[in-house]
This record gives sequence, structure tokens and C-alpha cells, in this order.
Amino acid sequence: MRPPLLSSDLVARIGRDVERSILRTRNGLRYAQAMGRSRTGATPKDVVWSCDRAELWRYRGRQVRYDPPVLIVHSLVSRSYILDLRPGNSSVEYLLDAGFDVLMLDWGIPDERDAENTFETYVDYYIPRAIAAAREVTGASELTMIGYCLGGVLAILYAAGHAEAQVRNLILLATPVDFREMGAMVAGVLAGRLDTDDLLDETGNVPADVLYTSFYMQAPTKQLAQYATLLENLWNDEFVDAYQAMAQWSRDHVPLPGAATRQIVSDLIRGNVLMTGRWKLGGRVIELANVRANVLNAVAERDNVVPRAGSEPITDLVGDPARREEMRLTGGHVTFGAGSHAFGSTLPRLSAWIAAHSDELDPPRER
Amino acid sequence: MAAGARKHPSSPGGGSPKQSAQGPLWLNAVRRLERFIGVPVERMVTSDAYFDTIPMLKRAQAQIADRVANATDEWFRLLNIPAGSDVRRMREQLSRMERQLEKLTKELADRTDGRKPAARKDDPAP
Repeated sequence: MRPPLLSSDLVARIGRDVERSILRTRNGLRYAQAMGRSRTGATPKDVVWSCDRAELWRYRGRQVRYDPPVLIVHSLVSRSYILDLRPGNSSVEYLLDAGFDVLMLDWGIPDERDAENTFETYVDYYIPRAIAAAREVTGASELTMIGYCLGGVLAILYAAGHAEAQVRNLILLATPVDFREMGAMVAGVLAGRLDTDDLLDETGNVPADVLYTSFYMQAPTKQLAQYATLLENLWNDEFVDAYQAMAQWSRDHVPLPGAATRQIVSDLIRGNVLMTGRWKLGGRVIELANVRANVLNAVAERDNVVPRAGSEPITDLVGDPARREEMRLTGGHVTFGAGSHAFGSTLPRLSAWIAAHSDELDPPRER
Repeated sequence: MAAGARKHPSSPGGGSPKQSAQGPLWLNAVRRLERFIGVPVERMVTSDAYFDTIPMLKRAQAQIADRVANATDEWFRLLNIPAGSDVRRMREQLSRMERQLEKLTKELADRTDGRKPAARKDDPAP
């Protein structure tokens, strides 16, 4: 018998390639026109407190199975939607589904009016008020506080500097304390080549594009490989949507208030003051060891923004030695909100730790 | 613990890790090319020479911008049109005023709530 002219496998393959080419063209056009702009930060929420540009959001969940509520303190240099990237791929959504009452302290987009914001403004003004509002709205007496990146520094300083801080658990995600280990990110100002004034614009803040450039310049050619990977996967709606959301976030920085930048440059980077275990702030000395919460230092193995060596010392400096732990996570700086490891490993491990250090509500509380 | 946690389908920016790691030949070639160029470029942008050049460029850029502004400001003023520096100065004054207003509003709110006014950098410890 003669073999068929085209085997069924070959026909299927040609069919698949044609279909993918059509999808690539469609998604390519959409991408180019930015029509299919990702819906970021889409988990339903209510603003429960606001002051100046800062807002406290409480996410809507169905059932709360654990107490205390979880308050995320976001970084000062990036947008908080990295932790609520898109529906079905959101850390906030994950924590809600796991049974936590989740709140987020978002700093908004600083402008001229924020140029004089110092660390004291955040640690002694905004955070205490946001926490009071969080406790009032949730009815909880304590909170689990999660600080991400520079938000982790703020969370440490609040928990250590306020004797009345009702923080049961303090979770620090990719939080820098040893600024000498921050590599290229700080090299320009560390050696005194650049001064704070060189970084500020006429608003008195470090413009968002300066921050973007400093992140981008860490690996300027990486985008070439990323675009090639996008081209290969352009047929895949899910991939394109995820890529778009992530690309949008990585370009989307916010200005950093000038006065806080001066403190970062002089005290945190040049003085590397957190490595001494204390920092004089708001007229008193804050001892990092004074944190009374259970401390979890979550370190990402492949973090190139806050390298491991920059965040590891937290485990020796913050809180009571008997109540601190370190969790090493596979992935990079965004493993807490995106990437292949986020939902398979990072978030399950983090939520298990929080649950183990929380009270289980029986029966769960409906919201 | 997180028993009710929903399964999350994909990895943003990465797709399936296997898919990205393997990929077709052309993609692997692009990746190799990127690393071939990328490694020396990354070394260059973290070198002392780079960090010596950047401040010089930034200062030169600022000087040029100042000179251009000075030159054009006179022409704008001759035509009775506000120059960029005038707008900038006005924005600065407005922000100072807004900051002052926000500060007073906060102090007033704190007094109404019976709280101690907000801590500032040089204030003694709370």
C-alpha cells in the first residue's frame, strides 16, 4: 500500500503553525496598539483611609479564616500592583483565597508636595495612622505586617520604633539592610560621584525615569531576549497578557521624595546605618532588635535588585533572636508577585507561615 | 493553612518555564547572542569608568539646560510671555504653600483628635 502523501502528524503540525501565525499577527497588532492593555490591580477593594497621596485599601474577600489581618506596606519606588498583577495571577487574590483579610498601604504617586517627606513622615505619621484605621475597620487588635523592598525598611522602623505597635508578625520581603551589598544600584552615590542634588528634578523628588533607568541599566540588553521570547509566544493570549502586565509594571516607577532620598543616600547607603542595628530617627534612636513581633525574613535567591547579601543580615538584626526565621525562596525580586515560582512555591510557603502564626477562626467570618 | 487557595494558571512574564528554557533554535540563538553582547555591556555599566562619566554627563546636561533657559528666558520676557523658569518658580512656590497647608490641616486634625502633632525629623522622640 502506498503511504499517504501527508501524514496526519504533519497535517496537524501545519494546522497548528497556521493557527499560531494567525494568533501571532492578531496579538502582535494588539500589542503594538496597546489595545489589550492588562487589567492590573483589579482585585475589588475599598479605600478605608487616605492622607495626602497615601491610601489604605482593604480587599474584598468572601471568608476570613485567619486572624490577625494582613497589612502590606509597599515600597516607595514602585507601584503596588505588582502584588495584584492581574486576575488569576495576583498575590493579593492568593492571600484572600487562603482566608486572610488583606489590606495594602499604597503611597500613591508623590509630587512636589511630597518632596519634604522623610522616613519620619512615613514611620511616625502615615503608618501609625494607617494602622489605627486598619485596626478600626477590621476590628482586630493586632496585625500581620508585610513589608516589600523599601516598604520592609519602613515596616521594621515602625515596629521597632513604636512601643505601642500591635504587630504580631513582621514579614520582610526582599528588604535591604546592608546597602553596601546593593551593587550597581548604589555604586554611583556610594563613592560620592553622584550627590542627591544630581538626582532631583525641579519638583524636589527623584523622577520616576531616573529610577527606571537605574533598574534598566543593570541589564540593558535583556530586553532583546525578552522580545524574542514574546515573539515566539505571541500566539498565546495568556502569555501576552502576562508579559504586558509585567512589562507595564517594570516601566512604571514613581518619584522618590527628595528628603527621603537624602536620608537614603547619607544614612542608609553611605553610613550603612541599618547594619549597626540602630538608626536615629525623629529625635530618638530606633533599635532594630526592639521589634517584638515574630519576624520572617523572606530572601529571594536570585534577586538582582536587592541581592541576598543585602537582605540576609535582617535575620541577625531585627527582633528577638528566638522569634526570627529566614525563608529562602527560589526566584528573583518579583517572586512575591510574579514569575514562575510565585504561585507554585513562594506564596504557598509564605501563606503557610502566616497561617501557622495566626489564629484560625472557627467558624470562618463572613465578609 | 491555605487549603482553599485557588490554583494560579501561569507565570507572568515567563509563560511555562519549560517552554522558555527549550524554545526553537532561533530563540536559543537570540538568547546566546544577547548574553554575548550583554555580559560585556553589564560589566561596562558597573565599571568605575561608567560611574565617573555619568555624573560628568549629568552636570554637563544641567549646565546646557541652564544656558539654553537663560538665553530663551530673555526673549520670552521681551514678548511678555512667562518663561520655563518662571513657571518652575511658581510651581515651587505653590508646592511650598500646599505643603504648608497640608501641615496645618494635619496639625488641626491631630488637635481635634486629641493626638500629639505629627513627628518631624528634628522633633524629640514620641
